[in-house]
Amino acid sequence: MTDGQAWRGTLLAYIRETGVCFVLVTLALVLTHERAAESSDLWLIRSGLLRDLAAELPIGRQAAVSSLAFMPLPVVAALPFLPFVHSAGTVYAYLYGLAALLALAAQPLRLLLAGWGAGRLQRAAPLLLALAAAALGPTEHGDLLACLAMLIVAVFLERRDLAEIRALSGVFWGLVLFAHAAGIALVALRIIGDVAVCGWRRLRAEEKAVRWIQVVSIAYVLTIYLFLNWMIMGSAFYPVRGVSDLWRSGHGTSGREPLADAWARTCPGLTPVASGHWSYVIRPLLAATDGYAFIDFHPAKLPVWETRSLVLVVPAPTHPLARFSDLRPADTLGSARYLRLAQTPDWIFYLIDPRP
Amino acid sequence: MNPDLTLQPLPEPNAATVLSRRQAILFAVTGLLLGLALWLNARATVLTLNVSFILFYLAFCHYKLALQFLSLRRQRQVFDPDAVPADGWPRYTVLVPLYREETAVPGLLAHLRRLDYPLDRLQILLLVEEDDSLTREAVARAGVTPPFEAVVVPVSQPRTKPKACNVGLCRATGDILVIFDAEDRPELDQLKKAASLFVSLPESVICLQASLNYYNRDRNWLTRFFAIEYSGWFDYCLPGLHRLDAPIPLGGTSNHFRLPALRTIRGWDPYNVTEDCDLGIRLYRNGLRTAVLDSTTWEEATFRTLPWIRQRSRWVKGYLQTYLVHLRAHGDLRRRLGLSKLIHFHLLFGAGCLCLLMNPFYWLLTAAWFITGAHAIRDFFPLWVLVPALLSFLAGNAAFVLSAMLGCLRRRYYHLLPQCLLMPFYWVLMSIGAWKGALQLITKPFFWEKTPHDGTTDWEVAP
Repeated sequence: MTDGQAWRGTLLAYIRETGVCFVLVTLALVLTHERAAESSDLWLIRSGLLRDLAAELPIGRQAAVSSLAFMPLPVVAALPFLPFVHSAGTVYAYLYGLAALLALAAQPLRLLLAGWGAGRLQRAAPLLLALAAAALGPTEHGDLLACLAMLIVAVFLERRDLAEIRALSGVFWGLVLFAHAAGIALVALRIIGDVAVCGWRRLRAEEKAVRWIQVVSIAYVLTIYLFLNWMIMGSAFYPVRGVSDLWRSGHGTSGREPLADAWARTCPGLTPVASGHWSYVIRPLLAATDGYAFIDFHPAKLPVWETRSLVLVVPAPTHPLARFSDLRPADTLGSARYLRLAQTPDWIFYLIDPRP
Repeated sequence: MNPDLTLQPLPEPNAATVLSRRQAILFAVTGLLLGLALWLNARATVLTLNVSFILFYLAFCHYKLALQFLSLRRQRQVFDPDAVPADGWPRYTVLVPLYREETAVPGLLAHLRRLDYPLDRLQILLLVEEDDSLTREAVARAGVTPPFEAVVVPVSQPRTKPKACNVGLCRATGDILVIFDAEDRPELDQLKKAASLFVSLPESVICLQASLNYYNRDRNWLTRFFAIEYSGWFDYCLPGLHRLDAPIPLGGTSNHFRLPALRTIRGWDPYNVTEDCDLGIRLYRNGLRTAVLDSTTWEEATFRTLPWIRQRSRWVKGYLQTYLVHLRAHGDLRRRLGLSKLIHFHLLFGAGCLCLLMNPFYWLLTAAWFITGAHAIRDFFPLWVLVPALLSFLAGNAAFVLSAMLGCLRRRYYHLLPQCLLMPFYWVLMSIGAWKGALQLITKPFFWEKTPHDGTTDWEVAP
């Protein structure tokens, strides 16, 4: 067998393995998705985000980069599939994107399992990934699958004997960070652990060079994330600005008053404005009342011709959706432009002064 | 080989004319159609061009990365000195074209004398131009004794290196021929490596290209960039091309040929200013192949900016010349190469130059967008264009920087890794050179931008 034939054989095997895994994972994700759609507001946000991206609305771009709760890699992976799904079913693009990322990790996982002596398991690598997809996909931690896929590829590359290939793992460590907020901790642990365990001074020159390339690759991916935020949100550190809200989670969801009811009771005839990713959850209300949705709201962003009375709707701090609202009462809502109009246990309504 | 033939243009297609009549008409018609389209609907035309260029950028980026990826698993060639019996080494002719290289002559001759090859099987031809008295005197001072011979190249147009090489080709008596430049320091066992590799390769492989790199790489920032670039090209891209059995643009020096086969295709095109690159594709057209030799020739990198730009302009001019020459017989080229190899030809010869020429426009456009946020620019980047454009900008550029780093890693140039991050500044220089070359193709197509060499820099064979 010539070198070219061997290479083609390897490529075909890789394509076959990847294809099989893509089909299996897609099935797992699609079959479990219906249950997920009913149980989580996250799916509303994800599908709304992709729909806005497909419609080329600025809010879609902003939603894609501005929150640590929605890191860009799953969105980027979904983009190639957007033209092939109906606008009402953009969530399928998200699922296909996740499946594609996991499929890329199938062959590396198989080789990793073989290397670890799990000979029998290696054939089941696509099945293992499909199981992971079925388990995590429907939960609110679905993006972790993207993180997992990149982690598998990164670890696989890192265990190769050729220095150039080990150095390439840095790109995938960077993508781990790009896939889920948990990736930030993973990458930090990996770097610190590496230095602590191996000891920088004890490393051979070649290993130092490999580590250097890895760290530069990670830093570059991080820089891209900051750059996108600077370009789209106007602040490189926008996602970190909202981090206090991300951690401000509520307790329980039962017995909560729907916003539509609270709105009809407290602010009849007024126009709602919502800011943050949570606004995707109340799109029906916004549509019915001709309201506004923003990712990063500021009164100056309102149209100059707007003369209606506008009310900014904010989930109360104990509401589960509060973590997807990036407004911080201390900084923004404490100013004179906002007048607290009404408050329920779940929602706070502020009358907006539209003066710039 | 008839000596008179060396001064004649090669049979068509050759570089003696820049554009054929048909090509000139085609360019004119394309220009007119483009102008008409701009006049009728400027926005749609510019958008279409923009999309085409972005797709083209992405394709080229993927191509270069694929080449490098393919060469990652390249197995090192094992040199077997016993492959050829001690008294059976083939006769070797070394061609060294010299023009205004008087300072380089002593070091060159001293190094060539140290080559590990039986002296009685060696012929070293120093090709000196008739009107270059300084170099001729330097050669005479150094003492020309066998295996060295001084060959005077008569003054005639065009004044190019390939013409001198063709003169040398007529005088060559070896079985294998290699070209070295005045400032070259080939690894001492390179000839033996090439000779023994030729024994194990099929007869269709008539050329071996050794890796080139720089012994003065740490002289300044420019030489460091140059070394990074060469490490990527010769150690990554060429092995990838070889693995794909694609046409290989030769590297100007350290090309080892089976002499009879080289004669059958009449050597180099004297009108082409990158005769090496042209020869690479002509070999392929004739069903002959080039392989990569795992040995390095250490050269002296140009270390001043303006001479560097002049050198680069000649290279780009030559690549464009070569591209235009072989486009003239495109049907024949497609028949001989096949579709996949034809794509290699277009990507290597056409796309490489076009990227260098287009880069400044996109850099300026990007800068203008960031600075002004002009809506006029945004109009040409709707989301479906913006995403691949951003991918090309952010991921494509990073991938090239990363591949430069991997090149340094393979060469163990660890200290050059941080400088790889500054490669975009080097690309600016490359684009300046490219534009100079493209314009010179119109004004002075056969003018040979001579690259000056210090020739006195200390050198050592790197590990």
